[in-house]
Amino acid sequence: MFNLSAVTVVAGQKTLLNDVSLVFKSNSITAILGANGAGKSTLFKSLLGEYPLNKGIIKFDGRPLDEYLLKDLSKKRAYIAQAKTGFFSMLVYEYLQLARLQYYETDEQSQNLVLKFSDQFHITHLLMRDVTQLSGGELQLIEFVRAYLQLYETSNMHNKCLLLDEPASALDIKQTRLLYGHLKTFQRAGGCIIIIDHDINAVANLATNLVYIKLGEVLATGASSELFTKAHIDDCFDTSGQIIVHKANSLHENKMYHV
Amino acid sequence: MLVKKQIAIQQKGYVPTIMMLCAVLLAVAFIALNAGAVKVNIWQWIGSGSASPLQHTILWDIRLPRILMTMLTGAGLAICGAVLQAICRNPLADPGLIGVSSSAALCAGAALALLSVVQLPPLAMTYFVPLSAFVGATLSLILLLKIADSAQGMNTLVLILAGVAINAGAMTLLGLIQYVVDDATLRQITFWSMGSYAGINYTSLSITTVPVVLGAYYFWQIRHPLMLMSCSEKQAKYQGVNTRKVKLTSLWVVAAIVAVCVSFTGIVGFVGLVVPHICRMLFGAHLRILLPTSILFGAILVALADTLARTLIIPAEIPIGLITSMVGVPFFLYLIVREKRKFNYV
Repeated sequence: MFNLSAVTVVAGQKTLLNDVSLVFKSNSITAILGANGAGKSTLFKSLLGEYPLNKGIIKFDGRPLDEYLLKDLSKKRAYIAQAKTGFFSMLVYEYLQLARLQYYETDEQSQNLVLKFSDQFHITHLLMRDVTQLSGGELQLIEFVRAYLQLYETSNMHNKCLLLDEPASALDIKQTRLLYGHLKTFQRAGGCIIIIDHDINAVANLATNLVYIKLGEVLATGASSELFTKAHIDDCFDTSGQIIVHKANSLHENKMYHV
Repeated sequence: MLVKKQIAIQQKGYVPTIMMLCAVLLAVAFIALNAGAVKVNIWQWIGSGSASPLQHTILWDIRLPRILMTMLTGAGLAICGAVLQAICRNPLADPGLIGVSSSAALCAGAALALLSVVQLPPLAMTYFVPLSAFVGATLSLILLLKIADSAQGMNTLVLILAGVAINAGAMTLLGLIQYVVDDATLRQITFWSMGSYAGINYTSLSITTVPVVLGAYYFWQIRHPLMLMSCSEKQAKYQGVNTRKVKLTSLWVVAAIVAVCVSFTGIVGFVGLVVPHICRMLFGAHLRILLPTSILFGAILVALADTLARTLIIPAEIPIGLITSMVGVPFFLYLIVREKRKFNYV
């Protein structure tokens, strides 16, 4: 989906990203790991087209990112920011319906889609609530449904990309499981997910791929089953810890990094 | 499906509200037509179909255009306030905040000062002040956009700060003009900046109708992008809204509406700020509801205020700006106290 080649971003005297080349594929969940200030946010903002690049190019679905019309891009790429309120008040279903703005469909069609996916993602009970009255966790689940509605054309999410910035920061354990389950669903439908999260253990077990960033450069990138190792994490975060393996059953094991 | 029913009920819920406001507006129009220094009984008129030529003139050539103008400008100022608050994501935004009204006042003041020393032909006299006000409003907007707009987008905070600065600058220059002119002109400028609907005719009414009606139609068309922008400008962009274009066009439309409203009637303060808030608290914040209710409520408020302005101390007229504030401020305070909890959109 996203194809970065030799991307360099400089702000003032500081090089925020240095010669970064990365590929984000369809049907994958990629977690970007790195210490504060390593360049995770800069990378994200570049994918969102917020920064002019000093060098290199970002291609999205085969075309340079800056050649897209906002309208076309909005049907292929959605962004979920950290949970925050601060809206003028409106009802949740009204908010969700706005996600269908760029599609030519009747009010009833978009409303039916809102109802369908609210049901599928278990937020129907929130639809008549005011968005300003929601908890951070509820808001984040609604944001996921909003992003899903924004990208939905058919149930095939191939060539659709979802960017999430610390999605679990306001969630409790149950809500986190719920959201991560939804993300898996999106991935299995062919979607590409790129995620920044500070809880490296939670996100590493969710992700299919990992990208380690340090001082604006890519340390390592690849399948998370191979890259979630003591050596990589120690190097990336300048810590010294251990990996604890928890065998859930013969097929599945959870890895935990522990300092 | 239960939720579907709830949504259907909720969506139809605003129809009675709109109908009620329309009815109130009509009632206010009747009261306003009836009230005034000269007694004209409109009921008797409808009954018998006869009236003296004087009454005819008063009703159709003086009161009717004046009342329509109050409604039109009230609606225009209120809708501008609602839209600016959405775009700036700031409940304090109103047409006065971005400096458009005060720049109009400055140029109108300058025009009045000029007229006190230079003789112009009568026709030019009539339109010189409104035209100057219009030029002032437009110039201030161009200046504002020059400062706040850049290729990356328009920074809302810079927009508001620049607006405040332009406001202060215009007020200072107006103070300077007021300091140097003679007493009669000073009085004229003071009255102009407090607003008056005296002497409105069908020409000024028609000139005002065009931008207000077209502007209201445009804002209705872009209500959904505006809603997204009122949540978050960045997110609106990621959801496919050309935020820079929407902002730029909206500001031009706001300036055009404010310019024509202010040009003919002076500054009717307070309407753009408070009417959207009252409507939000009473009827809801979704622009689908807020835009029509603001239009109707703005029209009602200003029409009512103007009726009071010209009937309270017959034969004199109180500046309408004072009335809108006197009626609006206590009502606004009452609503704030009653609905304190609902202020969580700040």
